[in-house]
Amino acid sequence: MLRAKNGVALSLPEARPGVGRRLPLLTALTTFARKQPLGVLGGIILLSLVALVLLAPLLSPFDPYAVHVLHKYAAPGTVLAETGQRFWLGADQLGRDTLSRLLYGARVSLVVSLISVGIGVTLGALLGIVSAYCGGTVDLLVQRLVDTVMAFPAIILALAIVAVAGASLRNVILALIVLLLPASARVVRAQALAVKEMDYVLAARATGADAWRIVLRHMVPNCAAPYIVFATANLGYAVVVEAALSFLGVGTPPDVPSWGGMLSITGQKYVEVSPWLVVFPSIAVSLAVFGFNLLGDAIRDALDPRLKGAQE
Amino acid sequence: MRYIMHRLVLYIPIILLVTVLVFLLMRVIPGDPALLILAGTSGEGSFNKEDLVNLRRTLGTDRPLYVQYGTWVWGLLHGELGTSLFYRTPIKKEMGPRLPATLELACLAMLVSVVLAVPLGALSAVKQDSLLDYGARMFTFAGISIPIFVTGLVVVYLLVRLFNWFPPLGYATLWEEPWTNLQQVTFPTLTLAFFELNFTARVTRSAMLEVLREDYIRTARSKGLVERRVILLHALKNAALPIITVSAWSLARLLGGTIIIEKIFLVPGMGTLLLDAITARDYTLIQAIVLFYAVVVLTANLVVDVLYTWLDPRIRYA
Repeated sequence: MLRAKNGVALSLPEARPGVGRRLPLLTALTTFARKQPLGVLGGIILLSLVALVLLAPLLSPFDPYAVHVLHKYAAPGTVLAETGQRFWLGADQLGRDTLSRLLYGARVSLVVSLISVGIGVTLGALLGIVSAYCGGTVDLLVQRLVDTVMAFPAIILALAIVAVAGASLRNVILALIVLLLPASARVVRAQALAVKEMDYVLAARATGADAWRIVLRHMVPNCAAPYIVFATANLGYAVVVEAALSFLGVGTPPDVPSWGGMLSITGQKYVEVSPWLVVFPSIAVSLAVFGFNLLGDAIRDALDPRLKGAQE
Repeated sequence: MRYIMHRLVLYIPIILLVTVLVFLLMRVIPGDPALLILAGTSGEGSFNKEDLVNLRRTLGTDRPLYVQYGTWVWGLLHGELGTSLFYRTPIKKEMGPRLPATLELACLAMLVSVVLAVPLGALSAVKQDSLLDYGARMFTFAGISIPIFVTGLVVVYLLVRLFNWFPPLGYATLWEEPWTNLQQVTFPTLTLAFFELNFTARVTRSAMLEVLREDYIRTARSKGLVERRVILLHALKNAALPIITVSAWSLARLLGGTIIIEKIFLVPGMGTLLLDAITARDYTLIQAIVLFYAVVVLTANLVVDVLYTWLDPRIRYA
């Protein structure tokens, strides 16, 4: 209970004890959890993925690059005679441990997804806001450029970029940024156009605020909702594109463990390949995308009331 | 009519911008194609300065960029796609035989997915919150989370291991050898369609839910129409608009999907040609194929826009 300087107890309007003292973020999170239980499931999947990525060096029974010539296509549970270590999920065509490669592969998926969405969607959102704010010729030019990039089927543009720039993790991220940036610009621009006409923007202009201040202090915060929705909706998409590029052999270099890369061997040899080499990476990538999509959907429902009617 | 003209006028500059983008992507990032050809993919080829200058002249890469771009676009306007760097043949000859397989896959998959997805989405919306609705929603949500290469691999793997079925090599067109053709395209088409139908079903469901809340549905019901008539003639017809709007994006997604499906099912289509071109670092061929895909998608968008005015008079007279 708070006390004023003279020692008299102040009676604060606290209807339910304890509620007011909670952190606002925590309150927001609990509200979200109550209304979007599936979103929480998505969040749990995502957090477990982060935990696995961080703990990969501790959890992996093997070095993901270590080749065991005698244990090519080893069945799950096979024991390595010299050390007594177990290939819990079997081994691939070079005798590399599937579990260790899955754990380290999660790192590629997560890092590519977070970085490309972080950079691509943020730059796109800023471009969209500036485009809406400037209007006129700038807006027209930006929108035609957006149309141009969006004319390409996503995976084909990504393939072309990685093909000319070279197969590497950096270039996969670059390709994803090129894919995400225009789409994000388009989505956020729509909101920015509405925000631009709001009275508070007019009021800011009347008080003599310059363009920078209006864009950064008034428009950016009010375009946060579509930005967050678009960003979370595309985390899973980025995982899929990275895995698809690696599967096609133009993403991450073949020796680097990645989910798509692990599946690419099954795309070449159907007969020799043992079922678990198809099953485990497939489950990993689908489960991760599923988790991201659940979270993305829940955040969209929570932040975008217009869509709620159509979805529920 | 003015709306259609407006769309057409927008279409041409975007195609031009697309050619600029593709050209810059292929000319600026990879460096000197002549050097690449002479050095080979491993970078070990031996050559002298004279060879390099000569090759640059034959390829035309010694001229300024804008001249190269101009020549390329001028050729495109005359139906000349240029010469493949790797095969040293006209690109038209490389692309021609690959085209039917990819188009057949994409169109058939689109057809199958619409035939399955629209009834599923519509039923799901009509019986909202029923067991069927929950089932359909869970199925489609899981469906959009499973990447297409996972579905494709699992299908092929099961077929190979359980039925000793192998993806047939080569491709026979539907009009020459219909039976062989069907054997070749059935599984890839179904895989692609399974991938796409989840998106279409979700769009159908939300479009139907919105339409079912409209006043004219209530009117139709209150004047005593049979429910089936209300759903099929009043609701579904109006819900078709958003479904058609997204169909251009469906086609783009399907074309992207054909690349992966063609690789998995060994279909000799445009996708496998593109992947081969990438392996061979055949930049002129990559350039032509990427441009082809973009033009197909843009044209599909244009067709959808025109179709839209025909279906929705509100746009025509606006």
